[in-house]
Amino acid sequence: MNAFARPLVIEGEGLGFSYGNRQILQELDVRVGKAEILTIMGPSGCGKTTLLRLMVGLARPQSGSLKVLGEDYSRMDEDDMNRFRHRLGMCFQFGALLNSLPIYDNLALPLRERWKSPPESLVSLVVRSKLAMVGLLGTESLLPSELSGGMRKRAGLARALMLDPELLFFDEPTSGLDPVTAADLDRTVLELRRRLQTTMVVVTHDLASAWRISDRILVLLHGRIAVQGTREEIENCSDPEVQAFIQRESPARRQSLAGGFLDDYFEIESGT
Amino acid sequence: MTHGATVRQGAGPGEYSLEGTLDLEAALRLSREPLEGEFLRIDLGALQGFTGSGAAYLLDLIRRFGPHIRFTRVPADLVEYLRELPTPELVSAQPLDEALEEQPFIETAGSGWIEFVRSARFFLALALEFLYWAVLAPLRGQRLRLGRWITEVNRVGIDAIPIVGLISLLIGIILALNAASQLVNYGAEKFTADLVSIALARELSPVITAVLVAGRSGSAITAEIATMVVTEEMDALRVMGINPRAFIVVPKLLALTAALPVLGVLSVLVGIGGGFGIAVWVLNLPFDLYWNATVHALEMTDILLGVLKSIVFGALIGLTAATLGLRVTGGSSGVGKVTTTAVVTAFFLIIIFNTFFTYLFFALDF
Repeated sequence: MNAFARPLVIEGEGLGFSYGNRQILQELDVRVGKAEILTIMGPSGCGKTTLLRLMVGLARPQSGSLKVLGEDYSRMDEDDMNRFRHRLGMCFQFGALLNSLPIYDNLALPLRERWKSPPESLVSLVVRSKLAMVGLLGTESLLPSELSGGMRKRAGLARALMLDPELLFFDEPTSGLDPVTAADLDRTVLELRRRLQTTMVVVTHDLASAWRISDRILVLLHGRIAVQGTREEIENCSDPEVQAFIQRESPARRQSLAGGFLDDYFEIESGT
Repeated sequence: MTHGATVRQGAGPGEYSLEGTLDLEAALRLSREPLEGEFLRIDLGALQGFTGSGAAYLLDLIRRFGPHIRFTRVPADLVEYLRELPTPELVSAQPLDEALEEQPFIETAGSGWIEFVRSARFFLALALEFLYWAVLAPLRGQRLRLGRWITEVNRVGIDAIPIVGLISLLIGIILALNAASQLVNYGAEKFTADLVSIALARELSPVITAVLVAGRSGSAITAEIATMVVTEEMDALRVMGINPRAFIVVPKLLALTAALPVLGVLSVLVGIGGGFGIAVWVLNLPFDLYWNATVHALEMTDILLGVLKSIVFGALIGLTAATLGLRVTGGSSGVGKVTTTAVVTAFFLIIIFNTFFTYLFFALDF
């Protein structure tokens, strides 16, 4: 299926970004369609987090153009940006909850800032409904430091959902979670898309999770797109670096790869 | 279990066999560079066991010898273990000490200056933004976060009262004792009151209070802001459409600029009280004399100049803390580093500005 048959939510063309003289992203084109789940994968340092930060507007591209939800970031000042960001949500790797506030106030914050003193009865209703979505009802009065890492992450997701964003970003949503919780989170993501038609961009290392949730996967290598497409297209990609990356992330295949290498040097003891 | 494998020379050249346990100790003992044209055949048939580091050593040998090495009679469990590792990459990766390039001195020194200039620019921009939030924003009807401001005033102001009071009392005592012991030589000990009150109001109280608050709250604010940057809390605020400087930094700055003058005046009063006590009970100066001399010596200008200094010092402490905290890099060790730097920088700026003010007031004959 062609994802671009849907209206485009993110259109990036020729994106470039560097820190000092280290080129992080170069000449990168990225497009995301409405209600699509795009996963960005790649080894550490390939630029995937930077790409995510560009799309959220936490950093500005040094070259190329980027339109998100039809808005051109380069034409917006900080105030426009702050108003626009109410349409976005982001889940940070470690939750990024404000440590000085209890979970309830953490979740209420975007609502209170957006609508300036909304009625408290409404706030508490929305907060509880979002907490229920991520299975954290009852943690309202706890401080973030009293939650486990996985719970903090889910509370972060609940906070990102507070303003019902049209576009949701995830930075390593399943890292540090046990497989069952990770699968639960993936289910929540799919559920969100089904019910609310939310568009999502996920940066992850977790191949199993990526296969589960993505419509399309984009593999970044050295700041460029090595390949993008469905699971089959990625698996059948002939680029050796892409293959090496996929195999490194999936233990079953890693063995056969290392085996061939070792055979050049090792004669295995016979008769055992 | 024995430690370390024993190496035995085999029949032909370059033929060796290992016995015992292949562990890190053995690996360190066996490690060497290949000789010209050498081919190694290492028999592992007699190994009784291996550790993870010992197994990794075989990969190091493969790295060094390349195709000129072969291991024979390798135990199946050792192969099984190595198959779990991404061996091709481990072997092809450069050793870390070669991979890390040393930064040339000029570059290090230059980048230090560039960082300084950037920080200074950031500091000034933040100062302008603070002025906007403190003066213009309320006039334009943008709300100030009163709740957060009160919390911060409590933390930087109210909580600092005991320590500021105690130190000021002691400073007052020290001043009075020193002044009296010198002035008595000229029969001028009644001027102790003038010296204590004016020195406290114009110089010592603002500076001492600022130094105490910089050490107490400046460090705490830097660490808090820097930690929020490191844990992406600041980014999270931005993504929620909240300006982190307005939300986090401005209430702290406003609290510092409001609390410091009050603490400063308190310090003057307590310090004068300390001097008073010493003068009356230790130096046996008449109560009336000392009281009248103090009231006579201290003018409203002295107090106001001290208050003005305190406001500026409060802003300096807050701006330094915020600048360094917001510009933190390098995770938790970075937080420690900027916190120290913030306190030292604040002390330095307080003294510099105090000198400037004192000279200015002197020149203007205030």
